[in-house]
Amino acid sequence: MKNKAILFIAISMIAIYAIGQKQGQARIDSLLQQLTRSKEDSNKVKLLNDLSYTYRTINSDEGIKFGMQSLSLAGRLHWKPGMAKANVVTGINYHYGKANYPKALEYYLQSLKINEETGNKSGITSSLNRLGLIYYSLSEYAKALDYYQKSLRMARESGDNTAMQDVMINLGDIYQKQHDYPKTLDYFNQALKINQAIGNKTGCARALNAIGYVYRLKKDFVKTHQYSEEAVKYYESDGNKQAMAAELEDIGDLYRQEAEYPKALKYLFKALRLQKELNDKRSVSYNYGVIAYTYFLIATDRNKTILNKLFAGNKPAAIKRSLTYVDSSVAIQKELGDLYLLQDTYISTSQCLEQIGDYKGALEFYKNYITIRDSVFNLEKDKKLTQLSMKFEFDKKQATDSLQHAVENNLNQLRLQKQKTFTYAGFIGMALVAFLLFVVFRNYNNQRKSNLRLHAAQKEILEQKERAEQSEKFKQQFLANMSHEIRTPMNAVMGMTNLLIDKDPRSDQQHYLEGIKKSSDILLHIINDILDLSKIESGKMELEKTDFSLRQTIEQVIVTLRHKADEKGLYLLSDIDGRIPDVLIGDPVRLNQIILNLAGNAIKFTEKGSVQIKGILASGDPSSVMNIRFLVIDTGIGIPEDKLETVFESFRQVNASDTRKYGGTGLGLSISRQLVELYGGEIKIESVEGAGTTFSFALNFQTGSAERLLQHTSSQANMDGRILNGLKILIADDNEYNRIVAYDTLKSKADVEIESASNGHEAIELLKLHDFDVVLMDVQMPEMNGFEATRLIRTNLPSPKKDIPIIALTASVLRTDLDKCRQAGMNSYIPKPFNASQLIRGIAEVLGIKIRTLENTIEEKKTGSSDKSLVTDMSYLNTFCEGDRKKMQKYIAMFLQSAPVLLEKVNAALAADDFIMVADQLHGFKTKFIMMGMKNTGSLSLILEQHCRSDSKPATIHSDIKALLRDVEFAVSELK
Amino acid sequence: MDLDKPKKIFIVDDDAMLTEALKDYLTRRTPNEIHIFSTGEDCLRHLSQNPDVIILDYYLNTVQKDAANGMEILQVIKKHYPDLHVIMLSNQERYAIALQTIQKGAEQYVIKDENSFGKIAAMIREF
Repeated sequence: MKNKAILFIAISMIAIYAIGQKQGQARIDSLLQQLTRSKEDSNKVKLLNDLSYTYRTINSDEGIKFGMQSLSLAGRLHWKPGMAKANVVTGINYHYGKANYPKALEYYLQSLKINEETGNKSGITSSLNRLGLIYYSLSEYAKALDYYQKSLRMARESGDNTAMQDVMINLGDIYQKQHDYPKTLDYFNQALKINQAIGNKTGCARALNAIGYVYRLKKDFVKTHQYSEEAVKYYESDGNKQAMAAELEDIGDLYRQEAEYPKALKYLFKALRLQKELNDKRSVSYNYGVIAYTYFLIATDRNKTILNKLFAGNKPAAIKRSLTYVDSSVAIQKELGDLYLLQDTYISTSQCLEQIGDYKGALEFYKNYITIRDSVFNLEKDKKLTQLSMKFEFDKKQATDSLQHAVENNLNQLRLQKQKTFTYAGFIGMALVAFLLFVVFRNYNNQRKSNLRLHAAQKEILEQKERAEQSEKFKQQFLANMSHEIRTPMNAVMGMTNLLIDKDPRSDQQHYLEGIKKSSDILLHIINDILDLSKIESGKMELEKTDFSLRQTIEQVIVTLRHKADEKGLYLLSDIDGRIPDVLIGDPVRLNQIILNLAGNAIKFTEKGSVQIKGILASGDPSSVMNIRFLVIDTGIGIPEDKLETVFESFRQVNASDTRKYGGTGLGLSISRQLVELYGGEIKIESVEGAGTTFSFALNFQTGSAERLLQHTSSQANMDGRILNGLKILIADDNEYNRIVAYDTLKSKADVEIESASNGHEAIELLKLHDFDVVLMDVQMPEMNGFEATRLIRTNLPSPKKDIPIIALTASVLRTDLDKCRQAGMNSYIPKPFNASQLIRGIAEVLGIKIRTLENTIEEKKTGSSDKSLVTDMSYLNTFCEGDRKKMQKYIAMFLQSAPVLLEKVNAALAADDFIMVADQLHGFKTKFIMMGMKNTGSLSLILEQHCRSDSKPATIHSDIKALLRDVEFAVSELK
Repeated sequence: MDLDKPKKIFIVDDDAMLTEALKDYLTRRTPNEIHIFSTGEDCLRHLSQNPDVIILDYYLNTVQKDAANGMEILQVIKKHYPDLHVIMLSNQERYAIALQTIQKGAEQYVIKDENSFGKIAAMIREF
């Protein structure tokens, strides 16, 4: 049965293909026949143009071939309208068939030139419109707008309604790109009216489709469906199958977005049939991709109703179906040689497979992606080279043309003179020969020179590039060093300011101190910016992966910028999509930095209105990977089209004078962009001069754990310094002021005894004489630096002094430098400039002292959880055993048997401080936690196992492990 | 639908709960023949019995310290039986490890969680 059905589908698919091939071929055959019969050359040009146009979707290489033939024939006939048209059709083949925009642009420009020469108004209108389209494809919207408006004016003048509606649709598209929906709808509705008036059905359909799409963007899907369905009817009654197919595909895609998968598939397959009938391979391949993605979504959707209905709940079968369509899509893309589409297909399939944990499949597709990416890169390189050599050929041709022109002129003069006087003929002839020789030689020389110039230019470019790279390296090194050098004295400035503020100053003094504090905060901010940028550029920036609250991160940005916005009377708003869970996994510090920079920038350049921060769930869902799009929308001065590219360059603002007016280093945007790129995203800008700018970027996140977040945040809270009471601390720092800052900060917060040393030697001497609990060691000191001193302490001092905890104080935050600290034998580090909390926490951690605030939270959590609910949950085991009591008992017995062994071994290992042993014991228990439904205990165990295996264990590790063991004890008593 | 052909499956893991549960799951619908080994070395000694699939834990030396880990065992298996299906099991969701095991010839890298039994069963059905 099943096999027969498949066979039937296969046969009908082949049949449909054959029909499509026939239809396209029929038109071409008839055109070719007419061509052989045609006697008149201008008619041949027309037919050739028609052929070229017909081939555009079937085979653009052929299309280009016929276009060129037409061009040369029309050229020989000096028939300008034919030439103009030939240029247009060739351009269309390059534009839509090859996506070779520079080539297409060249042909469109040529058609405009010819039409202008002959004053052919409808021709000019069409050429201008085409030019608008090509700039639209190139995303150069200002230029596109300009051409469209010119075209519209021309069409109005000549009362060309068909052209008018066409341009209006294109104009609407441009405004749509800029999110100006009222204007967009205005143009589309005008186009619709014109089409209704002139009875242009396809035109009506196109306008309806366009209007529908605007509503889709506005998320008014009911209206979208209304307009789209109406458009389908118009296309159908006009017999415009190609457009009808595209419309059906759109509707299908919309249903996919609405998670109405069966409806989506219905429409997509309808479209597919038409596309095959038309033999429109590119659309077929694209549609296959959409179908594949729809099946993937069916497979992975948390709501399993559709999966159950279509695949009897068999997820692998759905995935397999999806991959079959990917394969079909790939096959066509290979046939078409569309590397760009292929590249997209490979990478998105790889990402989908990675998402469902099919790493092997993901790797396969990723490998293919890399191969294609390399070819695309080579292709781009070749394209650039071709462009260069084309430019060269063009210059050469111009030179030859002017030469010919000169020769012809001379010949004409010669003829005239010949008629007048024969006597001069010989002389003039000789002069002409001499002149010709001279011109030819000059031309040859010019060519040779320009060849040489080209080589020289290439060489110079290479040299300049090398020099630039070299100086870029120096710049980075210099910046990194400078920021490091500046951070050291900044530590003293900021530390002492904080100390003074705590000393209850007079109100006028308070005022000055606040000034110093604020200014040094800004200064530190700038230094950090510079350091970040050089870190990113040298590839040393690493992104953290930690649980964080997205809404809190955005709120932080709002709080930081609130007063700036208030000062200017701006509304500062934020809006996070309700579907995004609150806790995500990512790097909150960097995300904050990106959005803070973008929003801060927006406030700077906005005089009235609002700055809005938005977060939208663009795709994916909280159970797997989410793609979240962030938008920063302002109503400011906007950015001129031609400056959009330069906005991100380091040290640059749009006008150099803006730096004085708006302040800032100009680094913020550059850093934001590079951070987003590091995250695998891209910042996009859309701007309308005078109306505002929207910066947006999309990043991938996974849902995080609120529990882990709670532990994390409580560890960042303000520290109670009294936990250090009674300690004896040694501070080694060559900078007197920094010693004072560390000394006074600690003294003001805790009752501790402190000794100071100004270099490594002194520190070691003091250590020999007295007993200390901990050493704070500056890394860079004269005579003996912190690394050396630490090494000597670890090797030369007698036990237990050689094991004293040593904390590095360092102005460097580079991973490599921190690694050096560890290698030298230091236990941890505190970055400069530090505040009191960081200092207290750093010391408490290496000494294993419980931190006051953290302890409280953990206590609260423990009592909360054990009171409220059970540790175990039998629902998983019940499902797993399909309700078989006996089997359930077997697993419970296994757990009860192994639990005491775990408790005993872990306790023994803890007593011996053998954390690897603890980790190994926990490792073997993972499945047991799963089977007993101990979800929280399981994830806690995983984290603890990692902590146990890592060098840096949190101070709470002992108590955390004990808590886990308590969970196991609870479980045992629940299960008995 | 045809019943799946029974297969000979080796499970190599030192976690008794896991091996027991996996055995239960894999014999539920199809009378697969399951052999359980707690070390990789033990599994290697029985390779001549020609299993169809081996399910191999990545971290094999938590109980016996001197035992070889899953990666080493995988390499030995693949050296002698390059076409044998090996599914790697692991506690940790680490893309780098997954990549390594697959490059070394593992069929798939499966994270131990609530869904891993189903995933493995589906994969074996495909072999």
